[in-house]
Amino acid sequence: MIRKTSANSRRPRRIAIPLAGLLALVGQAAIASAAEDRSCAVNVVNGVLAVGGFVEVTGFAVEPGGAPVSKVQLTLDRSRSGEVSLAGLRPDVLAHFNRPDFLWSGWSGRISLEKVTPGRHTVEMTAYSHSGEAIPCGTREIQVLAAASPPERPARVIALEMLGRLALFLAGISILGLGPAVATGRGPMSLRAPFLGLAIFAIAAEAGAGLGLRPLVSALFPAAVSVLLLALPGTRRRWKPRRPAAGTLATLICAGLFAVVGTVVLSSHGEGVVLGDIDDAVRECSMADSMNRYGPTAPADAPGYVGGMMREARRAGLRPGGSYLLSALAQASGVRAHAVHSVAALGAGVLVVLGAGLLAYRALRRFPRFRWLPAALAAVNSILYATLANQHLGSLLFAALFLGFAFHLLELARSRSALAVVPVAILAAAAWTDYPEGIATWAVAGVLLLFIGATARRRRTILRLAAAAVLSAALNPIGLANGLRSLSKISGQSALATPYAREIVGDTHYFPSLNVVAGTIAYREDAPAPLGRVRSILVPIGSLLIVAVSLLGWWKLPRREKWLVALLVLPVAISLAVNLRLHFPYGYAKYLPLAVPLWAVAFSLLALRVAAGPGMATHGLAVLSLLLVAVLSLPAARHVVTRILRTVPAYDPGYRALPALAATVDRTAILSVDEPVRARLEWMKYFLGDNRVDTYSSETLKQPTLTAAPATTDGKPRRFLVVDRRKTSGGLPGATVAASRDFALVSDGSGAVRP
Amino acid sequence: MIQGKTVAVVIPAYRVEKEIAGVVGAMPEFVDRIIVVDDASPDRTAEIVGGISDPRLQLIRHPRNQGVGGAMATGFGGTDFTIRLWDISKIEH
Repeated sequence: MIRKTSANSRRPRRIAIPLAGLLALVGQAAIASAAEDRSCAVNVVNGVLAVGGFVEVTGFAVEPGGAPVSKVQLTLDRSRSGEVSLAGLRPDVLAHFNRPDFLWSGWSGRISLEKVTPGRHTVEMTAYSHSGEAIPCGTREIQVLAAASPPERPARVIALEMLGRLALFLAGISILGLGPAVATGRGPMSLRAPFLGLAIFAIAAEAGAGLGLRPLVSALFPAAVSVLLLALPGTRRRWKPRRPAAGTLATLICAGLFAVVGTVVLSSHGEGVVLGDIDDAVRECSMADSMNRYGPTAPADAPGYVGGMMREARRAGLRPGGSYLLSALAQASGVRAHAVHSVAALGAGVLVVLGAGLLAYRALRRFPRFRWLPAALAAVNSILYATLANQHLGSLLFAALFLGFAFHLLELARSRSALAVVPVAILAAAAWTDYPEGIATWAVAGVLLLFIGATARRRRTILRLAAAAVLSAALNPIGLANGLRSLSKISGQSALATPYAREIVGDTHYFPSLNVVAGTIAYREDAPAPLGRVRSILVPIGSLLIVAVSLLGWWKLPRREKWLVALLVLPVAISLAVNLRLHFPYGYAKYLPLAVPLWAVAFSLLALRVAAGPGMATHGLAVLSLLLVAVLSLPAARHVVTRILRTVPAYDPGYRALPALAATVDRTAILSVDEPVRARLEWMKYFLGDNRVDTYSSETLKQPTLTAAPATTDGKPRRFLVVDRRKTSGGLPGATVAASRDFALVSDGSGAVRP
Repeated sequence: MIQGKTVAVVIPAYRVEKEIAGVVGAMPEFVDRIIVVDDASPDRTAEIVGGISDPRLQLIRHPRNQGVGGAMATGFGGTDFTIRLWDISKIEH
């Protein structure tokens, strides 16, 4: 019997895979299968089969040329489409066909059952080979149960609320950063301030956590300092609110467009949506809620899953950067953290678009009319839209901080004022809190800076870099210590220790091509996006033009600007190459949101250099390459947006009623849930967070072994089962204590009080 | 043995000289056969596996690297077991 075959179902990304990564247990009594000789088959049909729920299907598909196939289409009644992820790990398929290239043949898809009629429906799966041939995988009948629709506010109201919270986020960090930005340097303040503010917030939150303060409270002190700085006569003279320059305004408009598209897409899923099926977001939200409820260091007797989350996180060495932000946003909005997770991701995405504009302010100094160009290219890039749905909040924050860092590095090299050291130090200090994994990338950028500018100034640059490093450590010593600890934990993980383990841990072996960074191909984490006939012709032409214009532009660049392009491209290129060399597609994917704006700035500079040349032919070549990138980026972004619209949210909306159910029992009670999918189980724990939560199997009602638990008055913790009524046919396995539309809290049928 | 069935573990191994001994040593008793496929590791992986005295252990060496899929296919080929796909009727809800 094959045991390790569920890898293409929803697995956490950081599961502990021992050593070589993969164990396949096989037995003599093999199972007969109806799917043995097929090239596409369905293995599991699961989900919440009720109106408002979803159906989840997993299977495998191969074609003679290998796996994964080009795409798998999943439809309900041949009308509604689902979203399918390819490249699930299937060692059983490999073994059965004796084809090593069938290892990544698994697929997994979900269709929302929002607004379907109750009754029987047909789910149909079809795979498509790379030559376009349809491979039928079969159909399945499902019975969708009736369920009253939960009261949901109109999408436009949810969208407006989301935009309001986004504005709150951006205004908050801009206030934090404006005073220091004005006091320490020049440049477009509306672009510089949010990056410094984001970094100052991280530093303040880390310091505040050391003092037991919640992140929002911690941010009040630097906010007051920022306002005071603006009031000082020296800085007041340098800062007069005025209309942004044309290039800055266009950059702000590009970021605004990204924000609006992202808001429309996210709000279409309802309020407080979190997309993506890994368990990163729920962990960040649980940490944020724990901080808001019990403070950064929860007391030892803090009850339940959420109460113990921060202790658990610190023990595991998890970086809290994203959680600090979620905590402050949630507290400021008066909601729980899940309700602002998408806002935080969207806000970080907006900062990445703004970051392209900020860098362009310096890199495109000779082309002031085109400073908006990199921001525009970033705003239509499919990678940034995909990050709204893949829970990579940390890598978006890293990208935003790095862009601010790169801008201020360039300022540090050219500014006469020694104060230019301060913003670099602030941004570097924040990196330890928000994303220590990327710190080597920052160091490479620092080294490359030495080659920009006159050789005579190199000594000064070295001294300033050294001062920035020392100052950054002094600004955020707790973050530095935590960051080093987190790095040590990561490097010690057995799941990342070997090449094969790294390949498997991210659930995919796929490294997206650099065309996705350029925007000409849609980004997918699992397999190449299908191109279609026209784009399969245009994309190679676009790639050739990009290479030609880049080489031509490089040839025309003065030496100093060559080093500037190197500083923009090499740090992230090296990081991508290292992950490629390490066989680590997950790590590779984390750098893509940063690669987008950096590439956009570098390519804009190269193309504008070519366009500024004397020949009409080269001018036309540069314009054509930019146009083609823009034209191809739009359908690529649309492809990703369509996928996001079809995505089933990370947590079932019915979970929102779980806190009210949990409130009906004592805090010491243990709540048992039946949810085999890890990420969904974590979400249930989050929503039942005031109590301890463990699992049971509804098939056997087998109880887990109890660990030590707080005693009730009779000295024994009570146990209740949390039963999904939509999955229950027949009676509940005990007396109902409380019920919501979708869930019932039931006394443990095998005895409510257990030892 | 689990429920009367023989259990084998296939370990595709590449550049794991530091970890391999610990993994093989941690194999539970119910595992009847441990098949390590050294995928042409340039380090001492094969040497270390060769030095482990466990009667359940079998080492297969690739002359050249074939990737995790190739190593796994060799490992499965090294068993006497019949390997079939999932039984839909058993696991479908």
